[in-house]
Amino acid sequence: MKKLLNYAYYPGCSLHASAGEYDLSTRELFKALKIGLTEVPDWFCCGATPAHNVDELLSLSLCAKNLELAEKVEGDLAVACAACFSRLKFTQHTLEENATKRKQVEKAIDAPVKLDGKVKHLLEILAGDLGLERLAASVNKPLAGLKVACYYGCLLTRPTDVPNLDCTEAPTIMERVIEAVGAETVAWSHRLECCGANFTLSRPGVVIQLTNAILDSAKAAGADCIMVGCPLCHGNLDIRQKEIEGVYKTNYNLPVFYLTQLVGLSVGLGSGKLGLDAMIVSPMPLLKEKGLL
Amino acid sequence: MHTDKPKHAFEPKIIAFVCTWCTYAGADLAGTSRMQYPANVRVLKFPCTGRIDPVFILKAFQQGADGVLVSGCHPGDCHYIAGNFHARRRFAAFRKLLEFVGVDLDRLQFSWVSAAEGGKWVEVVTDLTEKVRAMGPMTEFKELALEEQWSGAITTPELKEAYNSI
Amino acid sequence: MSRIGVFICHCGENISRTVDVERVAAQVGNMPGVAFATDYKYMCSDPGQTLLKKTIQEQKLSHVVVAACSPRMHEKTFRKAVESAGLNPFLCEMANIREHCSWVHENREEATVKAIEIVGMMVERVKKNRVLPAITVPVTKRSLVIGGGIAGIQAALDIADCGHEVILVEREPSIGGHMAQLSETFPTLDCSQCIMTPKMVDVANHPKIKLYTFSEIELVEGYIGNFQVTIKKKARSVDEDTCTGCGVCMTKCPQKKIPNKFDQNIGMRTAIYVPFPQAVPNTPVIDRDNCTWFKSGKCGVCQKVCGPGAVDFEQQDRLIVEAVGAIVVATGFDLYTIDEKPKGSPIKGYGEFGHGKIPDVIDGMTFERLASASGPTGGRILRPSDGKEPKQIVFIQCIGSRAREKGISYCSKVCCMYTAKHTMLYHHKVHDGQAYVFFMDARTPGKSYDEFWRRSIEEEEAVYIRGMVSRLYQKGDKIVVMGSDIAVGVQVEIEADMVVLATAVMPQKGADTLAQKLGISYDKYHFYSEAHAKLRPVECATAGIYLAGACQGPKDIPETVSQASAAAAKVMTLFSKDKMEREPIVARVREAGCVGCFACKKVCAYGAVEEKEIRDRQGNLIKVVAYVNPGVCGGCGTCQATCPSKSVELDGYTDEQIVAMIEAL
Repeated sequence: MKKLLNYAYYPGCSLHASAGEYDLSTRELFKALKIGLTEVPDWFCCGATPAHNVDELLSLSLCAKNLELAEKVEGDLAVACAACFSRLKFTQHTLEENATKRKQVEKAIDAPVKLDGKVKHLLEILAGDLGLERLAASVNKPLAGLKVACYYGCLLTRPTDVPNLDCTEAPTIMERVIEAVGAETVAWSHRLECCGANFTLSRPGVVIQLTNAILDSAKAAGADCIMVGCPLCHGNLDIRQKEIEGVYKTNYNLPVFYLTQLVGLSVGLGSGKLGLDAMIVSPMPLLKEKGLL
Repeated sequence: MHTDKPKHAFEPKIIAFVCTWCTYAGADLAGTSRMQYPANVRVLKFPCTGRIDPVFILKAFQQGADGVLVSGCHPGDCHYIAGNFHARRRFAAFRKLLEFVGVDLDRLQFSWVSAAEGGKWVEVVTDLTEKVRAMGPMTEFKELALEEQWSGAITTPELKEAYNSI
Repeated sequence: MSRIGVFICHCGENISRTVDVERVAAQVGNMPGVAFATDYKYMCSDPGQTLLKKTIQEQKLSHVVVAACSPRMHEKTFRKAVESAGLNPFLCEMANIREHCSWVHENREEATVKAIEIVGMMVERVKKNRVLPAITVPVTKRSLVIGGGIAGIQAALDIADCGHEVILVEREPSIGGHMAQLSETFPTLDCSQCIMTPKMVDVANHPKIKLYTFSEIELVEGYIGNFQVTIKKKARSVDEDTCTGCGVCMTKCPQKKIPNKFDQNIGMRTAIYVPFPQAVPNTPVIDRDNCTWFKSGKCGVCQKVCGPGAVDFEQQDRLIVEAVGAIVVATGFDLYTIDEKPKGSPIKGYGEFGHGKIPDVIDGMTFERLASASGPTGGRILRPSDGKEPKQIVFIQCIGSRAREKGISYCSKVCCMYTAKHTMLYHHKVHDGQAYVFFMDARTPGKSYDEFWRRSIEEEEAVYIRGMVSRLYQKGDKIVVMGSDIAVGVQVEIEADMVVLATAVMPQKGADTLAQKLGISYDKYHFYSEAHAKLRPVECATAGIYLAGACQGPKDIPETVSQASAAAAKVMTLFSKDKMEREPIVARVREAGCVGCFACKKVCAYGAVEEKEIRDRQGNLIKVVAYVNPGVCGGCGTCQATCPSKSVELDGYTDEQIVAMIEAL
């Protein structure tokens, strides 16, 4: 079968571990949309949050090497994880701007730095390369009546000075994608606030407070569920939700979907292909109520 | 009070094209501050660097200058709003041409010297003089001029014939 | 054959100490064309000048070179002396053998040789000097003032009080500008209307001021002393001469729910309206976009009720041409809006503040209208959304200003002071309310300004939080303000009832278009550029055009008034003579050579180059050539260096003169 589009795929560590359902749903969705996805051979960690806090050269080199590996696969580089996306974009930008750092990195990875290939988040591929019209045309089961709170978190649109996928302060790309497959979106205040990120391990109190504000705001806006594009945000919102409900003596019951899971549902993929059973806050009652399963 | 200066085998001739509002005034300031610099430079005053035609630079080299300095107001300080920007743009292009023609670009210097920078004027002039001194005389144009100069003598049969027919 | 006289000055010992002046005179005396050469102790002294004049007459000199100090010092002196001896002053040149020679070299031989060469260059140059007659330009002693805010009003009154006629053009239906919108003014808290309206009335009653409101500048032609300005007087639909200003039409107009721009759109007006009760002129305007008559041909109530019959639905826009000698530009400012900015604009909106979608997030000018006794709420601070009195109010400074990432890097200058004023006004009107201010720095230079700011904290109990706000969002009927207090290092969240944004001061929309009509320059934000930031702050580089007020950059009222009076003084200086004289160092076009490429026009910073048609006797067009207007030309010579056919020459700095100097080397 002829593929419409072809991408190199950089899943990142999370998608091979705690966010396995993101990886699974991404592969299945792209298969259903007839988009080619070839995993970058021998890829390794992008350095995530810790590397650039400790050693800039290390962080740049890790990403530069991954970019070099990605050159071996045809197509632009598709990235699912918000942190990997941010680090790879940041590295491209920094090395383009700064010749000295570029030389240092080239010495470190013992290869020329390649910056020509484009790094694209799945959202950009769906909204841009594939296009919202073609995406809408692939829908078999519109998500009608499902009210989605799109949660961007920090890394999809920041930092400001690095070219990223949408406006830093008022992005709309998630809303555009999910509305194209028939869902409703809610206007809410905390879609760009930080969830506390990896403080979840060292200072969970911080995360509980910040994540509670996000869940509270989504619930108040009338959302049925939250959609994310970042494994870490997902972890905080989904895994910690029961605990937060206990601390704040409340009940949110907001399933937290990866964008690929929701879009996957709309193109007709079943629960097994989307890893819905891996979600801590079960989406089954909601999906049944809305007639989506 | 006269100190013995080292005698040099070669004294280069430097021509400076300057604008009246900044660099000429800066050179005046060097004078009023009694700063000392080599006596090799001759200053030509223009209202603005924007007035300086690149042809003048060629002409100066033709006339035996070994080095040429063009200096005006700092970018943004032009008395005539934007003349120095036009000059900068013009000379950026002109340098390429000079290089193509075969003039060593080290002989031509552009600088910005403001009316308050007497010291900078001295520095620029001294540096250029010493640099050009080290490079030696500029002979290319002189030789070319000699080659191309028509002596006026009627040397070829064609010329003789033409002359006689008048 | 020229008969050049060369005079070598000793300057006491300043020159003669290092330069052998006698040898210079002897050498120069032998140069071709030199009829006379001498040296003298002090050329600039009275006997020195007498020597110069006497020699010119006795030796019948045609040109003069004075070798002395810098021409920046004494060129004027000697040219004057030469003129009094009957020669054209531009036939005299100075050779600088002091600043550029005797003072900077110690070796006598080197300095003398250099001095001879310098004088020799000037001798060759002066041979090519031409007689340059002085240029005079007639001056029309009427002036145009564009903009009827406080700047325009002040400039117009000052010029008119001096007895010169002023044409004052205002875009809006009334003069008054932004100052008329303000409630009270810092640092004295006097009511803006109270100090503004008498001046507006003065303008209306002044016999020397001709007022065009609801009018715009269409076209500006000409140059200093001689401008022709075309003014478009938009159709008011009410005859200004007939209308008595009784206001019956406004009370009867059925369209009553049109947002009034003067009240920042929180107050309403009718379709036939004056923007505010104290408007000058007090003649209403029909807003044709919202008038039932103009939309559907029905209604016409205003016409029926108008006693004097002033309402005229047929009125058309009119073009009026006025001749003036000087122009004062006083178009003022506008405020930055936080709405989403159009694509491609370098200035970004405030997405984090909801792009202006929360109704109780207002700007400073809207707060002024709320606080104004003549405003839509009668001076009570009430929320636009539900009319409730806000008990917690947050002021956020530097919205747009000093925010490079938003596209504006400058400080708007007035916001620190007006925010302090707002906290006071709020405290005076809402006694149990609390005001918070988020600020980066408090910038309060100015007489009694810092004391005023301190008062807002110490006596009026405003809480100042040093830090910026990251996000605003609506929560129920509150607005949650999330910010940081960097002094304490904590995150702050305030649930406010109302938020006031001190948005940046920006130039009026269309400032660039007007600048292009006037031929004046502007910066990247479209603020107009002065000729010199320090020494010519009220003049444009374009001669005869002056700047007043915030169109040049953010300014408060006292500064604006000072600059307006300064601009008026500049206009009066120009009007003090019937003809204006200028140095004849101007560019001239050799029409035979000009091919009409207009490269000169593109590089001319003064807009002095015009297009001129050359026609034969039958009137057929032969070609179009460049013409340099000598009244406008700045004399930089950039056109000459740019001209590909060498058809434009700067008098006093011709190619001939320059090449002669180079060849003398």
